[in-house]
Amino acid sequence: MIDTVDTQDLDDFTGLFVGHYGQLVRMAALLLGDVAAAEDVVQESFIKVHSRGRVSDPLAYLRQAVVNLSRSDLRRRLVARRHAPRPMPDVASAEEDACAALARREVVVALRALPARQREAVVLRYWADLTEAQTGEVMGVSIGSVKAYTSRGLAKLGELLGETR
Amino acid sequence: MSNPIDPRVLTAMMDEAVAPVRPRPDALPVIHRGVRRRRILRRTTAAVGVVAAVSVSGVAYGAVQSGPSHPGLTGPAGRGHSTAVPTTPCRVPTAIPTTPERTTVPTTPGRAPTAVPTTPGPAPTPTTPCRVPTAAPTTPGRVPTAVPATPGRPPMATPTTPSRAPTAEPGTGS
Repeated sequence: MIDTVDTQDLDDFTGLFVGHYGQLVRMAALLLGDVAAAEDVVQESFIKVHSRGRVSDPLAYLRQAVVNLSRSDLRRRLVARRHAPRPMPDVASAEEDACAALARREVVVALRALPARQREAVVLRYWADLTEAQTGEVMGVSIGSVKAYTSRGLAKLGELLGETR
Repeated sequence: MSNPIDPRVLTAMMDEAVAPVRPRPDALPVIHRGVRRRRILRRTTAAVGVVAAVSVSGVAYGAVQSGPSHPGLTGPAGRGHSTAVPTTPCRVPTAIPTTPERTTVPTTPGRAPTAVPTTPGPAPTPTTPCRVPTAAPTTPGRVPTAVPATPGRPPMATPTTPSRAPTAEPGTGS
């Protein structure tokens, strides 16, 4: 699942970008349901890891940064939605069309219906193919909590996706 | 409650959903620009912080250094006393023998009493003792207080201390 690129001829940062940027954008897209926001989040994570300097495990740091920034982005969106004016009548823009392909996916819709922690656990565990310990490290929770989150998430997704089929 | 979804099915569905996602080709230059911008911002912030800290410490040091010599910080009463109260006895009593025991009566008529008081007595105007010598030679009203030691005439006591004057009566003392 995780792309690996021979980065011997590249410097560390460029190698990290070439090897993992696309995969991190997809992971963020699953967490956020929005490709543009996912790109912003991943770029910000790369800037953070570059500013941090030497990191023992840059990929783990990047994953954690992506998860944290995705959480912040979702929280910000929630606040913005609360204070947003009433929307205009639906007129689809070109940008909306580009994102609609992802947003219309039933699995993405179902993921967005999950609580944030369950969504993170499911995506990290079953899409990024991390172990329970790695997932717990990225999320900042224990392995038992990861098991609980994934179990509840799978049950909820089964319920949601079973209804749509 | 329905059955949980099979993890392999879920993985396949998620793969399929994000497969068309293609990152922007200019992502790396955008990241480099962001890194440069952050670096400039961080350096600017650090420089401003250093300048602010140095200026604040300089102002504080200057305030501490100039504090004691500032006129507002010393008490006006202390400075007034140090200038108004003479540390040395006034020179007026040296010319006017106010202590009766020192005003010796001339035993010989042709000799004037030369009384030099070692411990000068209180000045006639104790509130402004230092102004007396400067004002006495110029103002005629003060002349009687500075009685010259002429032969045959005893020194007169100052009118402000009448209790000590009778002791200096000529001919009554021993």
